[in-house]
Amino acid sequence: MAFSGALTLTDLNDFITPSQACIKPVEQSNPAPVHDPGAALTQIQVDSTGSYYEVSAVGRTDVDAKKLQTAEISLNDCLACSGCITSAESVLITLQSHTEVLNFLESNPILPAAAHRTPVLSIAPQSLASLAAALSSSSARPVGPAEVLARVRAFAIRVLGFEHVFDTTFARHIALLEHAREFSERRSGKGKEKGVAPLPMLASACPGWVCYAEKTHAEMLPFISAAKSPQQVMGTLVKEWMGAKWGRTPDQIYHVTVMPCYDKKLEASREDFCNDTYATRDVDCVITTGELDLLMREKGWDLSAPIPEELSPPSPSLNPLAIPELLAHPGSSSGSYLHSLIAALVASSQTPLTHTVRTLRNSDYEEHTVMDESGATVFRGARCYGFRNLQNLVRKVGREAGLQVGRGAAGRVGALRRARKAGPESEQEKGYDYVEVMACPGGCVNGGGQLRPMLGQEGAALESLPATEDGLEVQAPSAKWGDRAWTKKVEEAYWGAPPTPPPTPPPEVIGLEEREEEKRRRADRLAVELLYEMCSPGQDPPGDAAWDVHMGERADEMRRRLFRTQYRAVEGEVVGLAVKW
Amino acid sequence: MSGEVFNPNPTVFAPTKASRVAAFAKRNSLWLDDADHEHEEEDESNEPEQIDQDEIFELIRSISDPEHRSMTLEQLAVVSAPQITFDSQVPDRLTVEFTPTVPHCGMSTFIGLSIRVRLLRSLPQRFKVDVRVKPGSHQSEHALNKQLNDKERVAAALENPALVEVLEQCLSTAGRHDHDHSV
Amino acid sequence: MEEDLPYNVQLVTQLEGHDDRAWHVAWNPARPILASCSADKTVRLYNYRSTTDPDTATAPLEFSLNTTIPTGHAKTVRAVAWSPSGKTLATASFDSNIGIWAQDEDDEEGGGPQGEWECMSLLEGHETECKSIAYSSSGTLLASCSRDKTVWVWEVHPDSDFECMGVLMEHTQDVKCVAWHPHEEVRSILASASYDDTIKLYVDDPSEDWFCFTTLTGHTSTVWSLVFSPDGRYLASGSDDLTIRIWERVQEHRWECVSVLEGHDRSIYSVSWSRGKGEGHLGWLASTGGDGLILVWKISAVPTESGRDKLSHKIISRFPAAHGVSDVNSIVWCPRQGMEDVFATAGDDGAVKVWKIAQSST
Repeated sequence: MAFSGALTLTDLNDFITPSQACIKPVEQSNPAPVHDPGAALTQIQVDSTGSYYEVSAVGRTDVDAKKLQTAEISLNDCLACSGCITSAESVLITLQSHTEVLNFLESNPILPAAAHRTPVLSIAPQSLASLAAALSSSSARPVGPAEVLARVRAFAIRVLGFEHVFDTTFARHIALLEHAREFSERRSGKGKEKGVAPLPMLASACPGWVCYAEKTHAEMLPFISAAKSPQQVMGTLVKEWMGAKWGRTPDQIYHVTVMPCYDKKLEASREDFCNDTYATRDVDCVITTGELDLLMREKGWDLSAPIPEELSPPSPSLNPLAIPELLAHPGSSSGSYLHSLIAALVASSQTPLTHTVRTLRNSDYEEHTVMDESGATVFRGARCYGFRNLQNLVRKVGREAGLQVGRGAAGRVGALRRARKAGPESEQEKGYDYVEVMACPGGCVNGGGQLRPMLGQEGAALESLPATEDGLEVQAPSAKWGDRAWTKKVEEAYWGAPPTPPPTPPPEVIGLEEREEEKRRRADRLAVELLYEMCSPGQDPPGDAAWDVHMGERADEMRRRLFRTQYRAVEGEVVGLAVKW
Repeated sequence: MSGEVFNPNPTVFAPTKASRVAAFAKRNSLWLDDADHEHEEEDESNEPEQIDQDEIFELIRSISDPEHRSMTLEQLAVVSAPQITFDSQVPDRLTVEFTPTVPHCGMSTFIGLSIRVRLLRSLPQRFKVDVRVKPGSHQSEHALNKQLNDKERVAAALENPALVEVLEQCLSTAGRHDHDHSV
Repeated sequence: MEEDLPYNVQLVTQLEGHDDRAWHVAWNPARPILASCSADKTVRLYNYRSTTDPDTATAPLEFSLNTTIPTGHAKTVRAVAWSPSGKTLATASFDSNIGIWAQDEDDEEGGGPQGEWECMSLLEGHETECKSIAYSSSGTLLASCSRDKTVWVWEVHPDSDFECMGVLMEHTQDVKCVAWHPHEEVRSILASASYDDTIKLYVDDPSEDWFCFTTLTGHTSTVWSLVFSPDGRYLASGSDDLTIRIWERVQEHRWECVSVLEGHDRSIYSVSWSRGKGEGHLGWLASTGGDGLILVWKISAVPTESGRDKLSHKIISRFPAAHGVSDVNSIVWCPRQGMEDVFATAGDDGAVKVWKIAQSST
C-alpha cells in the first residue's frame, strides 16, 4: 500500500510503533447470505487484485460472482483495542487522508446550498516549521513560519476553497492557560474530593503517549493532565465559538488540521471529541505535514514562491476575529508546557526564584529545578521525550508514587522488596511536580508526520547510503546524526530563522520582547472574552479577569466540558479467537 | 464473539464410516481420553504402540470448527485421514495437513493450534508432529506453517487464558465418537 | 557407539524436579551454581563440587539442590542469565517481565552472600513474552528481547536499579535470542536473532543511542540461538532451517557467513561455544534441538595462502536422544576454569542434565 506523505511510522527509530498486526475482529456489513437448503454451496475466490468473490461451489455458472466487501476498521476501534500500542497506520491513512479532504471539498455543495459546510484549516506551528526548514534548505534566503503560513493560507483559500485558515498557537495559548489552571488545582490539593489526582502532572498533548498509557500503563492515567491538547482546543474554538459567530452549527463546519504527527488523527477520533448532538467531530480530518506537502504538489502549488501578502501583516478581512497569530511560547518546540508553568511560577512569586536545568544523558531528558533564596526546591519538573526516556519516566513516577507499574503479576515480589528497602533516604529527593512528556525523540518538531530531509541535502539522513568497504565505523553514527541535524534545522525554523531564541532560555530571558508581550496580552484578553462568551453568555468579564477566574458553578462546569477531557484504560484481554499468538 | 465470519457458508461433507477406527478407539481408549492420560502410557508396553493414519485421524476428526461450533473439522473437510503422513525414516514423526475452508480464513492458525494441542495431549511423547496447511490452500501458508510449528509460540499461546478457553470448547468434542451427524 | 569419534559424551548427573518443560540453563560464572528455569515458573539452583582431585580424568561432580525460587512470574520462565559477578540472576518470562534476583546481603558475615534469593527489581516494558536476556561482559548492561519484535538495552545501576538505554525496533518478527560480544573494547556489540530469519548487530553510538549496524541474512527460517566465539571473532547461530552458520568479523562492523554446519534433522534450539580443552583450535561448539541430538564440533582456523584464515569444523562427538524422546531446548558449556569439558542441557522432559565430554579410549 502506498502511503501518502513521505514515510511510514515504522521508518523511524524510537517512536512508539505498532508492534502487532491488527487483531480487532471486524464487523461484516454484508447481509448473511440466504441459506438455500440443499443448494450448491459457495466458495470464495480471490482475484488478481486481491478482491474476494463469493462464487458457487460446483459448476453453477449462472450465479454471479458477488464481490465481498473488505472489512474496515474505524479509528475508534483502534482506540478501544489493546492489540497494538498506538495506531494502525493503514487505518489512519485510509480514513483521514489528504484525498479524503479533496473528496470532501469536491462534493461540498456551493453556497447558498443548505448542505454547504464551511471548510476551515488549522495548522500546527511545528508543521509550519517543517515546511519552512524544507524551503530554507533549498533556497538562498531563509523562509520563516510566517511566510509559510501566508503561503499555505493563500493555497488553501485560492486553490482548495477553504474559507478560513488559522495556525493553532492561539488554541495552544488557551491549552497552556487551562493546563496551568489544572496544575495549580492539583498542587493546592483543591478538588481532591472530586478525584483530582496528585502530582506529578504529566503532559497530555502527545496522543502517542496518551494512547500508550491507556493501553499499557493505566496506573499513569490519573497523573495525565485533563486539559485538552491545542488541536482539540482549536476544534472547540472553531466548531463552537467561531461557528456561533459565523452563524454555523458544528456540523455545518468542516474542520481540517495539519499536524506533525500521525497519532493526532487518532486523537481527533476519540469519542470525547465528538459532538453527539450534531453528529460531528471537533476536528473532522487530520492530515500530516507530509500530506499537506503532497497536496500542494499534486495541485501544482509552489510553496517556495513568495506571495505579496506575506510581507505585510495579515489583512483584517482574513482575520475578522482578530485571533493572534504565531504566538511564541518560549521554552520547548513541543508546546512549552513545562516552561509556561515555570514562567507562571516565577512571575507570581513574591521572592526571587532560580531556575536550573540539568540534562540527563541527552537533550531529550532534562530536569528543571526552581529554588527559592534559601535553596529550598519549590518546583521540580522534567522534559522527557522519546519512547526510551518515557520508559524510565514511567518507572520513576511509579516508584515515587509507590505504584505497581505495568500489568505484571510478578510485581508484588518486587514491590515488597522495594517497600522494605525504602528507608528515610528515599525522602531525600523531591519527586517531580510536572513532566512534559512526548513520545517522539526531539519532540513534535521531529514528529512522524513531518517532512523528511532529502538525500544529499545538508543535514540529510545518510542511512540509505551503501556501506563502504571499510566497514561502517564512520557511516553508521552519522546516519543518526543526520536525523538529529535535520531535527535541529526544523527546531531553528520553529523559533524563526535565523536561529535566535534558544529552545531553553536561561531564566532571566523569560521576559519577552515588547511586540510578543503585546501579542500575548491580546491573546490573554481574547481568551477570557471567549471563555465568558462560551461559558457564561450575556455576562461580561470583569476588567481584571484572568483565565483562572471563577465564574460560578455552572459556568465552571461548562468550561470543564469545553477545555478538559478524560482518559480510560483499555482492557487487556481480547476475544479468545482474536488472540494473536 | 468475533465479529467477522470468514466463511459464512461452508461446504459440509458427510463423515466417513469409521467402524474399524472406532473399534480401535475403544480398545485403546487409554490415550484417547485426556482425563486418563497421565505419563504412564509407556509403562505397560515396552514396545511402543504402532499408530496409524486412521488412529491419528480419529483423534482430530471431531474437533469443533471455531466458526461453526456445531460442525467438526471432518464435516468441513478441514482434516482427512489421507492428509496424515508418517516419516518413512522415523515412524514417530508425522505431518498432519489441514485444509482451510477459504484461502483467507482468519481461523486457520486457531484450527492448526487445536489440532496440535489435541495431538500434544493425546499422543505419547515420542511423537513429533508437524502441522501444516495444505499447499496452496491459504494465502498466508508460509506464515501459518511457521507459527504452528514454533513450539515456543505454541507454548506461550497455551498460557493465554482467553485463547485456551475457546480452545477447550473446540476440543471438548474431540473425544466424541458418534460420527452420525446429519448434514 | 556409531562412528568413531574422538570424544564421547558422558552423563554426569540428571537433575529432576521441574514439573514442566525445562527451557534454559545458566552456569554462574563465579560460583559453583547451576540455574535452570521452566514452564513451571520456577528457577532451580544447584550447587556442585568435585569430589576428587580435578586433575584426574574421572573427577566426578556432585550436584545438590540449593534452592527453588518460585519467582512469582505469572507465566513460563523462558530464560535465565547470571551477571558476570555471579551475584545477580535475571529471569525472562512469558509474562513479559524480567525479574532481577539477588541474595539478601544484610546478614552477610564475610562468607559471601547468604540467604534467600529475592526479587530486587522487576523490569517491565515488553508487551508480550520475553524470550531471552543477557548481561554484557562487564555486567553494566542487560539486554532483553520479546515477541513484541523489540530488543531493549538496560543499564545496570547500583541498588538493582535499571535505566532503559534503548528500545530497538529493527526486527519484523518475534525476537528469539540476544547475545553480547565477549569483549567490550570501546563499544559493546549486541546481537539478536529472530523469527524473521535474520540476525541483527547493534552498537551504541557516541551520543548514547543504540542502533543496528548490520543485518546478517542467510538462514532460511527462525534463528533460535546465538553465541559468540570465546575470542570474539566469530558468531554462531542455530536455526530452524537445520543449520548452524558461523559468521566472521571481517572488518570492524562487517560480518560474513564463513561456514554452514549441518547435522541436525529438527530445529536447532541452542548453540554454545567454549574454549574447549587442548590447543590449536578455536574451541568447541555444542548444538542441540528438536531432534534430541547433542553434537560437539571442533572449530579451527586453517591458514590459507591468501593470508585469511579458513574456518574448519569437525564433529568430535555426538549423543542422540539426550533427553530420551524429548526435545532439548538448551545447551550451555560451563564457563569455569578447569571445567571446559562440562556442559548442561535442559529438555522438554523437565530434566536438567550435566554432561562431560571425554576422549574416546580407542
